[in-house]
Amino acid sequence: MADPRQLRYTKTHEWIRPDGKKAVVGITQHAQEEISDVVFVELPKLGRAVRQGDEVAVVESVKAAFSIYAPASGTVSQVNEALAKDPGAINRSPYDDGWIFVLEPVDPKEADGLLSHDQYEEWVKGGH
Amino acid sequence: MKRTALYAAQKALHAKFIPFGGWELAVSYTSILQEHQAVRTGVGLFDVSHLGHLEVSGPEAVDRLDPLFTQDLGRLEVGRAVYSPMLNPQGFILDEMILYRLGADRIRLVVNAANGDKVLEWLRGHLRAPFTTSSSPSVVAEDRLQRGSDSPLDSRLRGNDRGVVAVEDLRERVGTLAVQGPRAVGLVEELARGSLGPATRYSVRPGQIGGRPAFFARTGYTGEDGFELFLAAADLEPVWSLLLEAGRPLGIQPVGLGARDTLRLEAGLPLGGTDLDETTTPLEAGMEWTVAWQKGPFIGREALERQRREGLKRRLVGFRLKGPGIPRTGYPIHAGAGAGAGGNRIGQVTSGTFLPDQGQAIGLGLVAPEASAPGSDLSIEIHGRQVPAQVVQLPFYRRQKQRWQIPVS
Repeated sequence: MADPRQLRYTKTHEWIRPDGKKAVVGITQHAQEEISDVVFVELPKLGRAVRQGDEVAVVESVKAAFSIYAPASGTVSQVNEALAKDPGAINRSPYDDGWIFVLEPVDPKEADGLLSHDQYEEWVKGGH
Repeated sequence: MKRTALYAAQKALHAKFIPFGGWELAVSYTSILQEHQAVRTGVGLFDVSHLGHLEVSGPEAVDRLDPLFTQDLGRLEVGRAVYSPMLNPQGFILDEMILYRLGADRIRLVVNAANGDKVLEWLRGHLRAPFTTSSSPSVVAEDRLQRGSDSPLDSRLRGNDRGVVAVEDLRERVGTLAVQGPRAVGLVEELARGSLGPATRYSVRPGQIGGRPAFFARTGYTGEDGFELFLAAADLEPVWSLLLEAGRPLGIQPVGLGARDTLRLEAGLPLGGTDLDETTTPLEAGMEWTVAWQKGPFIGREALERQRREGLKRRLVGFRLKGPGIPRTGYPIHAGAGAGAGGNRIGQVTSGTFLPDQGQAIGLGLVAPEASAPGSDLSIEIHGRQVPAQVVQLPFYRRQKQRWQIPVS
């Protein structure tokens, strides 16, 4: 199980877990609570090269559509196909089963520049 | 932003709130999906106190209101309710509402949250009635207008020389609880303990619940059977608690605005301000059933007759998505299942959602008439992709009506 304290975060509520040259991306517990009831995930195309901040995926809940931005530059090497059948995994398990895509290779410097767990918690407390 | 009398009670149930029509309202308590299912299979409790209660009373109330509505209020019996659009002279929908005939000379209008002031002003202009917010409509003025030789509509609007009507703004003093779902009627009737006469769909009856006076309206906005209870603002909290307590064995679920929207959409019910507004006529909205052509003149009639003669330029339709995605308000609609980007745009989505129990996204949209027949292929543009969709007959969901079993001897 992923330890949320070991992840890096964006102000747009994505998390990223760097693992050597690759990195797994998903959305945070706070984000899934806000979005609630995820019913559809539009996954990125495999092999797509993205830059940090690009819109890569869309998480749709009953309420609205939420854009997912790339926390770092890289190429989409895997997508979580299981979300097609079970989008609710994002609500149940945002840091594990609810992962969305993998970037590989990823720029580790960009990931290091993101928010720490504590910084992200502060950001959320600030009403974001 | 305004809050209903139940804000604290809802906060205690961990409700999430959103702004809607000038109100801060509970959007969900547990999950929209769970709340939706509870109403389809059991019973849900809604606080819809953001709906505005206005009341028109006086010996001429019905006659004077009638030309402001497309339905024939002259045929609305005491104790009955009717859904009707209210049009401007161009035939566009100013608001749509349920009117309840509470007495021979008393009609309650329950209007959309955002439209209360507009409807009041419209009534003031056309009924020339004094406005009161006091509990007794003591300020009743004689409306003595000179009779002219103008159109039948003008003379109907003016009433006769004895015309006496009062309009009360009850928005601060009356709230509504909706109890909806297959178990709703049994629960409410049990709590009303015989204070309630026989209630049928679209009836409205005075009664008591938990010792508090209420009007019991057999109406709703979910596609299920149930009641809407009109209560004094001070009685909302005790009756809300009573219903939650008494409904516990039935699994009663408080339901927020989120599921109210998915339920009404699945039931094919348009939402004022979203699917219908001052650019839409009842004919375009597929609501010709609300237009009583046989009645006399009413505001907007000539425009509707002209539109009927000349043909519609667009129609509100229901559609099901045949590919992945969720249609949202404002997304473009193109003709044909295989439309390319920048294809032949023929309309736009007005409401959409995803129905997990049906595993399908649905929506309402305004489209050109040639693409409006059930079975017509459409493409909805979702985040730059063209997703195929098909026009279907509304509603998307129809409740199973209970039928009496006739014993065979």
